[in-house]
Amino acid sequence: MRAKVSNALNGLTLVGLGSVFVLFYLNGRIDQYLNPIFRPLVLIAGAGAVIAGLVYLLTTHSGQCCVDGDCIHRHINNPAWSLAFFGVICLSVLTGATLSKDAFDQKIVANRGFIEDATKLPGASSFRASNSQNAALGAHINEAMSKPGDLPRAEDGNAELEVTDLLYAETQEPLRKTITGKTVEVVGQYLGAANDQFKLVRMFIWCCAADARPIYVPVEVSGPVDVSDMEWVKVTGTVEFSTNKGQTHVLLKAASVEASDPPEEAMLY
Amino acid sequence: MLASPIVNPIVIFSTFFAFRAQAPALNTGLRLGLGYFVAVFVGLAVGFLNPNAILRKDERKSSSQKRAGFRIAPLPDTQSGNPGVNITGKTVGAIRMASDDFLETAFYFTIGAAIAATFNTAVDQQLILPLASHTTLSIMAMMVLAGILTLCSTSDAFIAATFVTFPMVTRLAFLVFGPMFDLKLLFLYSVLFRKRFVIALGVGLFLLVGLLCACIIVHIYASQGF
Repeated sequence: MRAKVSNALNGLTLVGLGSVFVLFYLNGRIDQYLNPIFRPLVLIAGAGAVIAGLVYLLTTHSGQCCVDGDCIHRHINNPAWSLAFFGVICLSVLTGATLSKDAFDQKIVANRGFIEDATKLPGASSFRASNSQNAALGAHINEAMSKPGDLPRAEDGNAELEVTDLLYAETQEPLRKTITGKTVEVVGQYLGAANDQFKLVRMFIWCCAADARPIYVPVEVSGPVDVSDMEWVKVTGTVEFSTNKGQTHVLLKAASVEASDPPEEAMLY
Repeated sequence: MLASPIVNPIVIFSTFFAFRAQAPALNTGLRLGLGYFVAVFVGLAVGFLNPNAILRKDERKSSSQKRAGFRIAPLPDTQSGNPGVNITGKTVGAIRMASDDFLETAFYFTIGAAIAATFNTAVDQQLILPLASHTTLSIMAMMVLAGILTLCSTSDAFIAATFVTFPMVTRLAFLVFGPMFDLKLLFLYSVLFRKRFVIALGVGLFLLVGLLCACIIVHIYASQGF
């Protein structure tokens, strides 16, 4: 009886955990947590866990899983431990998956600390801005370099850039020349600082959400903006660059700031 | 166990790439060299210890009972000479055994990851910035931070590279200590090793990496102008 209870709990733990992984992949929530190149592994791992869990549920324990019956899995047939496995591995992940907002709030952004130096971003010196599937990154920049003035366009004809594009431009003079004076649209999260300026924030991920760090472009506005912190906004305006102590800084002078839907890829890579 | 998170091609490449504007060859070489040296040193030191003093009681086995990698452990029926276990039975046995391994490990891994995630999001990482001006303190602070953040060794170099206010040597301590001993590994090591050994390993690594960085590596960086 004890073995059957353990068997059922262990199987359910694996099926539950695997189901969360598979669902995260299928409904796209994994996009908020993981670099695109690793996402298929979540599906594979989830499917593997579900299959293993089903095998566990549908077969019976031999009682001797290891060599000479001296099993190293000392807890596996103990219902109390199986319940602990279920609680810690399965329930905690299910609870986290249910409660998570799939986003960082301003407190976490503040705790992580902004990356102030654009040269620390991958691609800042190579112009290979991103290996991700972000729509406006990398390819757009490279295209802009090969055809000066031919920046990616939004539906209204304005240049459609990412926060990273503007930060990369701090380190690349040709790109600065391409962007300066153009009317651009940039989507990001609002983080208020002063009356006439706010931070347009995006989270930058190398591997997964654990290493996500906030990056931002300062935005100058003529008056107060009626949006909440970390709300997604689209800023339309012109870009200016200034040099102080040998370091170039970008400033986005906003003509308009309006609430916006989050982009398809909320994280930048 | 200690070297593999550092001495592998992906980490070498990611470290070089992360520090490409900050002496990439030097930083990558020192991370690789220091990580390898510390792993070999600790390995040799542990080799002199009695396994009974290191391993948990239930992990100590005779050599005939030890499992080898990729070997599908024999099921009870095959051990008794019964040829009736077919490939399906062996596959089921292998899946069950892998699942048992996973459950026992994932239990501790999840606890460690949860604690690390709490620190990673709730603690202001800027608190350590005032320590940057003092080399020894900043080395210790960065190693503590590496232990708490529990970052993947393939991406930690990108985080370390952003701590520009800290001296290079402190960031190297972050990159060497973190992959060897962090919150997640603390719980994982506890699956196999005695608590006393795990604590001693953590303290020993902290002191060894800290001393090497503060006494030797700092001079190497200084000789290169950092």
